[in-house]
Amino acid sequence: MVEKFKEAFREEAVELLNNLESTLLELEENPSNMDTISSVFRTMHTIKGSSAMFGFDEISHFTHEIESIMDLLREGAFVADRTLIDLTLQARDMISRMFAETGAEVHADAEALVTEFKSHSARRIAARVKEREAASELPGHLAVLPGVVLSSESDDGIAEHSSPGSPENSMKENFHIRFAPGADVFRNGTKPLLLLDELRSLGEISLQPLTERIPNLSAMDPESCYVAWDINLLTDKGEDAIRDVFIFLEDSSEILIEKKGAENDAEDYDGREIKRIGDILVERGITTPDRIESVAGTQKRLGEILVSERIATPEQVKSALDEQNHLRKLKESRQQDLSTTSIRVASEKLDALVDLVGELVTLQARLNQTSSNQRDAGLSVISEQFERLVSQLRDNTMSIRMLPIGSTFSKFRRLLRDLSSELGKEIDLVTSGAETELDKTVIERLGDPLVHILRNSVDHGIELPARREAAGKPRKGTVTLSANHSGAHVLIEVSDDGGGLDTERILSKAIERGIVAEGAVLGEQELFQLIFAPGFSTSQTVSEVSGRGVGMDVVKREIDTLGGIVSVSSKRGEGTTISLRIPLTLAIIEGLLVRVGIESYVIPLASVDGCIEIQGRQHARHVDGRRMLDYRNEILPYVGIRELYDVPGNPPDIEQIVVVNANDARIGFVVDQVVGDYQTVIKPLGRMFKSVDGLSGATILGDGTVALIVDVNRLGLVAQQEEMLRLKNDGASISEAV
Amino acid sequence: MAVAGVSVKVLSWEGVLSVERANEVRSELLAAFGQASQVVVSVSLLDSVDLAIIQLLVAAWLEARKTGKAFHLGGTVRPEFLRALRVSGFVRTFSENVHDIEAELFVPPVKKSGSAERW
Repeated sequence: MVEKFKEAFREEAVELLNNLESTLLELEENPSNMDTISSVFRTMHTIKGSSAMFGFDEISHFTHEIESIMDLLREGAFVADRTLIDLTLQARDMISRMFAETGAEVHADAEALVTEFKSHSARRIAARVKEREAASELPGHLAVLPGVVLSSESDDGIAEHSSPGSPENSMKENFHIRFAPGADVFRNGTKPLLLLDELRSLGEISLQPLTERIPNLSAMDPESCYVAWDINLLTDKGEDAIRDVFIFLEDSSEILIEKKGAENDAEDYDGREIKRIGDILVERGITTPDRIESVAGTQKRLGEILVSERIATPEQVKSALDEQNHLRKLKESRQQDLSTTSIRVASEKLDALVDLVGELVTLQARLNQTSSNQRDAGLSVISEQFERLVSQLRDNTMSIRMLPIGSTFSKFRRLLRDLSSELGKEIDLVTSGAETELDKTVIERLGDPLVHILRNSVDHGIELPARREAAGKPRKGTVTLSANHSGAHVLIEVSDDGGGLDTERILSKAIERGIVAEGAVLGEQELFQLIFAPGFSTSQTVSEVSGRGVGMDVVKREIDTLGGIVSVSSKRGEGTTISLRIPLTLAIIEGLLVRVGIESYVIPLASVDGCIEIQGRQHARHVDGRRMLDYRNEILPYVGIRELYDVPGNPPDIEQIVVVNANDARIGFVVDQVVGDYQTVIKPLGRMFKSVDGLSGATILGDGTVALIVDVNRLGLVAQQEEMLRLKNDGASISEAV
Repeated sequence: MAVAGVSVKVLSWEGVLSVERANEVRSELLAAFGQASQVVVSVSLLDSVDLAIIQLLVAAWLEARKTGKAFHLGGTVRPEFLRALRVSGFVRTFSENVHDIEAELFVPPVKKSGSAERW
C-alpha cells in the first residue's frame, strides 16, 4: 500500500519538477517577480514535505537547503541572477536524479551542490548589503536583512537563517464582521463597495446587507449611508488583514470583527449538524437559551417565531440565516472537494479503455450491418441508439486522452536555454498555442522530432550574436514554436529568424553524398526536402548539439509513422520554418470504405477531397504517358489501387476515383466501388505486412473481414515511384523498338 | 403613457451614476412618483452605480410600497451594474434579467418574515 502512495508521490513530483523548470525560466526573465519566487518556494516546500512523509529523507534534506535559499530570495535578501537560476535548475535535476538513484555518489553530488548554492547566495547577499550601504540606506553591519545573519567571512555560507511563519503553514479562519459605515461615509469620499471588494479578495465571503435603516425616498438624504452589513469571511490572511481594509473608517464607522473558528475544525462540521440558528442568536447575545426553549414547542419555524415574538428583528434572523448558510456552504464545498478532485489514472488503463472502445466500435459496425441486412425495424432502432451511444463514448474516451501540447513546450524552454549558452548564442523562445490538445500518444512521439528540429534551429539556424549584428539583425535570435488546430490535424511550426537554408551548399553536399546525381536540377522544395535524407548534414563541424546528420531523417521517419507531413520553407538570410502536420489521434479515424476486387480499403476521410466516376477510363488523357483527367478545372493524375497492389480480377465498367490530398497535391486513386463513411479503429499491421508501403494499419469490418487503411501520403509517393518506373521501362522498350 | 387609470413613467438612466448625482436622481424619482402610478427605471444604458444609488433604488421601492404605487426596473442589466449589486450583497444572482434582480433587491426586512420556508 505504501509503495502505491510512494509511486503516486513520484508521479506528482515529476509534475512538480516540470512546472518548477518553467517557473525558473520565467524567474530568469523577471527576477524580481514575487509571484514567481513564491511559486518556486512553494514547489520546494511541497517536495520537501511530501518526500519526508514518504521516507525520501535525503531528498527532503536536500530540498530543505534549497528551500531556505529560496526563502531568502522571497524576503528580498538578494535578487536571483543567472548563476542562481543555473544552480536551481541543477538542483531540480538533482532531485529528479535522487528519485531514480541512491548511493554515496548522488549524496556527494547533492552535498557539493548545496555548498555551491550557499556560497553563491552568500556572495549575492553580501553584494546586496554593500550596495545598500553604499546607497546609505542601511547602517553598516551585516545582520540587516530579515532573517539573515551573515558572518564576516560570507564565503563560508549562511550562518543561520530563521524563517518567519510562511503562509503555507497558515490555516483558514472564519470571521464574522459587522460593518456599519457612518452616515457621512459618502461625503468623506469613501466608497464602501471598494472596501467590500477588497474584503472579497481576502477569501470566501458571504455578506448580508442590513437595510432596515433605509427610509422611504421622500424621507431620505441621498448623500447619507443607511446600509450596514453582516459578513462572514473565510480567510487565511488573519484579522490584521481584515482590519487593514477598514483602517480609514475605524473612527467613523462601527466595525466588529469576531473570529468564529478555523476551517480546519472540520470535525465540528463533519461530525455533527451545522450550528443551529438559535445557537447563533444566543451566541450573539440577541436572546437566551431559555427563550429559545420556550418557543421551540410550537410547530412554526424558529426564525418566524422569533420575529413574531419580537425577540429578534427579521433582519437579525436573516443575518443569522446567512451565517448558517455560509457554514453549510463551507461544509458542502469541503465535501465537494473530497468528491470532485481529479484522480490520477495509469496511462495503461486508459490505453486498455481505448482498446475496448475500439472493439465496441467494431462490434457496433457489425450490428449496424446485421440490422440493415435483416430489415428489422426494431433491431434498426436499437442499432441506431447503440451507434449514438458508442459514438459519444468514443468521443469521451478520446477526449480523456487529449493533452495540451504546452507540457512539451515548457521542456523545450530549458533545452533552448542550455543549448544557446553552450553555443554562445542569444536566443528567445516564443511559444504560442500551448493549449492545443493532441492525443497523448501523439504528444509522446512528437517529443524527439521536435528536439531534433529545435537543436537544428539553434545550431544551424540562428547565427552568433556578432554575425547577426553585422547582418543588421537584432543580437538576440528568436525561435518560435507554435501549435494550432487545422481540421483533423494539428499544425506545429518551428521558425527561426536565422540564416535560412543554404540551397547551394545543400545541393553540393547532396551530390557529394551521392544522394543527387551530378548536374541534376532541383526545385526549391526538392532541395529543402534533401535535409531529411538519411546521413545528410551540411554542418562543417560536428558539434555536441547537432551536425551528425542523424537528426532530420529521424524527424521525417517519425512524423511519417505518425501519419503526418513535414514541410520546410526558408528564405536566405531571413530564417527557416519547419511545419509538422500531425493527425489529432492515432487510435480511431473517420474513413471512406472502398472496394477493389474482393479487397476492402479505408481511406482517411480527412484527406479525401471528392469522388468521381469514370467509365472505361474513356475520359482520361495521357500527359507524357501519365494518366490524367480534368477535375475541377485542374489536371488530376490518378493511379489504380488494383495495379499498385496487384489485386486480382477485372475492373468493373464503371469505376470510381477517390481524390485525395497527398503531400500537398491532389491525386486520384481508382477503386471499384465507394461503400461509404466508415469509423475505423486502427489496428497495427502484422509483421507480414509491415514491409508493404502505403498502408498504415488495418481494421475489422462489420462482417468480420479485414480492410487495409491507406496511408495517403505514402501511397501517393509509391504511386509516383511506380509511375516513374513504368515510364522509364516504357521509354526503354520504345527506344529498343526503335 | 396612460392606460385605464394606470400611468407609467419611464426614466432612462445612463452612464455611471454615483453619490455626486444622488440628489438629482432622487428628485427625478420623486417627480416621477408625483406624475404616475408606476415608475420604471430603464437600466439598459446604465454602466455602473455606487452604493448611494443602490440605496436610492431600495428607497424608491419602499416609497412606492408606502404610497400604493409600483416601482420596477426595466431593460437589460449591464455587467458592471450587476457586479456592483453583487459586491454589495444586495443580489446574489448572476442573471442579467431585471426580474431576477428585482426579486432579490426589492425585499424589505419586514416582508422577509413571509418567506418562512427559508427559515
